Amino acid sequence: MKLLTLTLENWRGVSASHIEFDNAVTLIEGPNEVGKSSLVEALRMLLREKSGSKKKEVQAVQPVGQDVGSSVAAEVRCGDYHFHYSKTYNRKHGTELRILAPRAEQLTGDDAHNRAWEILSGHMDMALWDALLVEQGKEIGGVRLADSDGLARALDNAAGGAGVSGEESALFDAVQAEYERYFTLKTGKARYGEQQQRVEQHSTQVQQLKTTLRELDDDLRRFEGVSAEISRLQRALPELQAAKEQHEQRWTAIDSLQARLTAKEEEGKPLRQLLDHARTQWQKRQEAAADIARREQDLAQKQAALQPLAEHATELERTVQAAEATHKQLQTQRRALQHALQQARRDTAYLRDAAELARLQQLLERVQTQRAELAALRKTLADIHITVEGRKDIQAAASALDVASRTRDNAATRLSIEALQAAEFQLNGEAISLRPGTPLERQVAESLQIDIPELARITIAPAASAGELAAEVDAKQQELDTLLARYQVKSVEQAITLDEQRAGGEQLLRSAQQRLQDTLQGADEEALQADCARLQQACDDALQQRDPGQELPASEREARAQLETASEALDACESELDQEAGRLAEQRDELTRAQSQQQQASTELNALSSVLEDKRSSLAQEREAEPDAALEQAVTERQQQLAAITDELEQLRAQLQAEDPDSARLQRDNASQALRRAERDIIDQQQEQAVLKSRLDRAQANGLFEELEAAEQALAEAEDTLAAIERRAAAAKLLWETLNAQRDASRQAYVAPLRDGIRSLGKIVFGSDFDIVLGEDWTILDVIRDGKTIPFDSLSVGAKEQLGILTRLAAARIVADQGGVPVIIDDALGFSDPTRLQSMGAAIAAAGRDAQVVVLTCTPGRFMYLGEVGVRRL
Amino acid sequence: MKFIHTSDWQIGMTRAFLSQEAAARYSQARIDAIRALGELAEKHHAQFMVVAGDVFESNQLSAQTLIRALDALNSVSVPVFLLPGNHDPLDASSIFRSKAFRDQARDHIIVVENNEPIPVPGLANVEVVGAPWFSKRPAEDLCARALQALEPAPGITRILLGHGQVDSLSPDHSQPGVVSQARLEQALAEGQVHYVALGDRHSLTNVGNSGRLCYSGTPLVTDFDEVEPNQALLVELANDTCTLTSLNTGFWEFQALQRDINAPEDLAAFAQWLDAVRGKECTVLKVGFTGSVNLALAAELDALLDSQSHVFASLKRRARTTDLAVIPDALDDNAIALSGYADATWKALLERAASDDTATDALRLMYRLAGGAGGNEKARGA
Repeated sequence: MKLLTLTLENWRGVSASHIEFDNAVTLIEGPNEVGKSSLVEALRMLLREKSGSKKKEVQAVQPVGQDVGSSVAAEVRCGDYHFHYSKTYNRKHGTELRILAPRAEQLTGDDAHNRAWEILSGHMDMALWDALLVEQGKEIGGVRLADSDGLARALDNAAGGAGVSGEESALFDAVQAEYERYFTLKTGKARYGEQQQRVEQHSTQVQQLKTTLRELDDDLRRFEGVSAEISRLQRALPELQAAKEQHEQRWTAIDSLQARLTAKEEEGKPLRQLLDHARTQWQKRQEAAADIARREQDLAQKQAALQPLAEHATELERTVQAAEATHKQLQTQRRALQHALQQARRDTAYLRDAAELARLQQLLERVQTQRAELAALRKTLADIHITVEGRKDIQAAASALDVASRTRDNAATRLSIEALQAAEFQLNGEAISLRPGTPLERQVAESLQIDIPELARITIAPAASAGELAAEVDAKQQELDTLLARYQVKSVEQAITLDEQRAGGEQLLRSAQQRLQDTLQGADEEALQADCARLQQACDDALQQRDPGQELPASEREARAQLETASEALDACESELDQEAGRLAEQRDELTRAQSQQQQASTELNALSSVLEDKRSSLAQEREAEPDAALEQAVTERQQQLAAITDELEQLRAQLQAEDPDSARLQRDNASQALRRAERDIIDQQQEQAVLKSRLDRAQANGLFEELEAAEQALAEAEDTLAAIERRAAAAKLLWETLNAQRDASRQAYVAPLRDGIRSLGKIVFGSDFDIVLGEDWTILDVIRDGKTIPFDSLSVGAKEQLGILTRLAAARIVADQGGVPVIIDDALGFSDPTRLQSMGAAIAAAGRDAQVVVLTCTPGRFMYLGEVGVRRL
Repeated sequence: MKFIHTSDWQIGMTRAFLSQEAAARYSQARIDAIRALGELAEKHHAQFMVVAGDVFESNQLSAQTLIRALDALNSVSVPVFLLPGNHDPLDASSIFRSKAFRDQARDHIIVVENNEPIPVPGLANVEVVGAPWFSKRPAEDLCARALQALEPAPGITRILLGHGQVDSLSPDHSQPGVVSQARLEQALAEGQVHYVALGDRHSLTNVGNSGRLCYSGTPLVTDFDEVEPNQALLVELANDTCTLTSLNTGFWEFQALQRDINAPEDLAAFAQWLDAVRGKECTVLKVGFTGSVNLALAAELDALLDSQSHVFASLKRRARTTDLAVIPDALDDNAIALSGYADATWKALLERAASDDTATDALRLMYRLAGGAGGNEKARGA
């Protein structure tokens, strides 16, 4: 289809507008609200909507506030056709079709609309027309091309296919409709569930009825069985009855025999008791006599045994007495020995004590002596007062005096008196005897007065210095004197002598003390004396206690020997005594035992003898009451009576045995039970028969068979219906599925040419590496640029729009040879940048060479890059 | 002396292959046959009628069916002897002992309940001796037993009424209830009985050479394989002769056909044949088709059977014996000129059709939807 002109009158805000279209690209420019979109709307309405339409969108085109009709007229070439087509909507609505070629035609009203539709849809793919119409403000990203037969046909051509007649859609719809008769389109669920259900219902009913009939048949069989059983039992009854009576009779005979037997047995019972009694009596009597005899024998034996026992006891008694005497003797001996031993012990102790006492006394004597020595030494020492220090002091003082004297003497006048004869005189009161040859020389240190008796007194006074020296000597003398006085010595010589004496005394004292200690050897003297006293006492006591007649042993050794002898003798005696004591105890025990045996035997003998006596007297009494012969007689009589009855019983029993009562009873019982069972069985079977009969009667009237026949017939019919439906459904399903599969496959084949078309335009816009991935329904899934795959949905709004337009252009190009469909783009590419606009312009221009393109815009600059274009300004 | 020998009325029988409507008519036809027999008896002056077993299809029939049958029986003007057979044995649930039967049956309807000879009312020296079935599984030859118990009665004409297969015809000789043909023939030869009226075979059959030992067949056809159904026998015994005349009693027909269809001419011939059938509403057909047809012809056959099935009591394909190859040919292709994926679909289905009947069905459907047979038919219908 090619649009040549389009004219609007009173269309919304447009009072009048006329456009002449270019063969290729027509660019219609105009500001907003000038009516560009109305052109598109009017064109679309002209083709689709009848003039008489009361649709809201149709009513909406009437200009506001004007009571006028809205008209649209177009001049169109379509295949061989060339026509003018106009419609007026709302007021004075009408349609007019004026065909100029190939044959002139003039139509109005719906005929005109239908004819126009026929021509248009015969030459143009209306679905594609809708798809390629880009109206202002509508989403133009995705394009639904899949419904287009025209495009498919064109693509099929392009793909080198066998050609598409254009009737596939119709067939497809028909197949789908057929499929939907049997299945839901969405889920593929079968729609003939009702028929399936019906089959199931009838089937169930048939099964139930068959079961019921089978049960009925079972009842019938049972009824037959039960009836047969009843008649069999009834036939058997008399036979069973007869058998029972026969066995009863036999049993009655046995029963009377049994009764007689029992009676006879009863008769025998007291007799047997009597016999038993007599036998018991007789037996008792015999036993009593035997008992007595046995006892007598026993007693005699026991008496015989008693004598040796007594003899034995007496003998034992004697033995014991002898042993006792021996024992006593030994005891006396032991006492003597013990005494001797004690004496020996005492003697030994005494001798030891005496020796010790002597030693101690000796020791004490030595101690006394040593002590006297010590006392003498101590006395000597006590008279000596000088000490070592004293002696040294005295010696020093003497020495000092000597020094002072010499000094004085040296300095002093020396007096020398020489006696020509012995003369007596005094010097300073000191009597001096002078002998010739022995001069007296003196220093005159002090005044000297020499008195020569009767002759003269000569005083010699020292010089003055001699005085000092003399004083010195005096001082020293005095010191010496003091010291001598202190130490109670008369002179220095004495001091030295005494000191030496003292040292010697002390030496002696120490050695005396040492000796004493040696003697004592650490013992306390007092203790020794106490020991002495004690020993003395012990010795005295011992001597005093001692038997004066007996001689003391000579020595301790002798005493010890005596002691040993005594001890050994005692030991021997005690050992003997022990043996004897043991023997004696044994003998005593034996005696006791023998005596008690004798006692026991004697007691027993007494008791036995007493019992025997009792028994003898009671037997005698009994014999007196009833003699032995009477008892024996009674037993014999009873035995005879009983034997008679036993014979009778034997006979009866033999008779009974012959009759075989056990099996007779078993047979009688069995016959009776068999009869009872048969009777009971008959009743049971009759009851069951009645139950079955009533059930059968009920069932009989139900007409089950016919019901089953009807149900089977209904089932067969339902099954036939269902089978037919299922067969048709299966066919429809297979066809539908195959058709779909083939359509999808063919679409897949069409994808390549469409993709080539879009790609060749896209390269102009997006560059040489541009590519796309198309889905089976021909929508763009992915875009490939710079080697990257981008999902369509992730593209920018601008890119989506550009691709949408390119897809339309490509589609229009593909169908261009078959009449073509104009691409109308209303106010698009608002989101494209100048570079993109430029390339889009080139792409649109390129498409315009093959297909008619109409671009409407309010922004003239947007499409300034469109080269070959006819511009119309509104 | 004349009487009618009939058997196997099978009152209450229905057939699953009949539609409900046809089934009702078929059931009614069984009742009608009783009246027809009554009228034939009058027409041919028969003095009584014997029914040799299987009067009823079952002992468990609805009261409605029973009463309708009794109503028809009551209208018969001669005595009617009814023998219980294997379908309606004289057991505990016997229909002959049901209250409805006892209440409704008139005196001239005589149920044979034992082997005792029964004098025919109004006729001197004629007795009917029956061998009724007491259960569905007899333990012995019932006829032989009846004969064994029979006291000789010189001067009395006796008719033995029996039911079951004779051993010469029975495929299973081991069945205890099978009837000894020899024994029957012996009885006839010895003059113990003078005619043996048998039932159980639905086809009229003269057994052996005696000319007195017959199955009358059913008065109304019950199956496809029956030979000479829809008949009864008029028996005339006079002195030493026995004359048998077959009487028509029913007009329903069961037919099993086999047709070879390869060309439109064959189909046209079959259509013509169908057209020529008389009493279509009482005709039951089952047809097996063999041969090879294209889609157009298959569609035509479908249409023919579809339209005719409404006319006949039943018209069905015999699934077992139908082997009709449906092979699309160039004519079919031309008839529906497909292109594109539709054409591809056609070819794909065609490939499968060799081994898949559903694919053939799918082809036929596509053929119709694409304007093949369906379109033509529509055009024809218009």
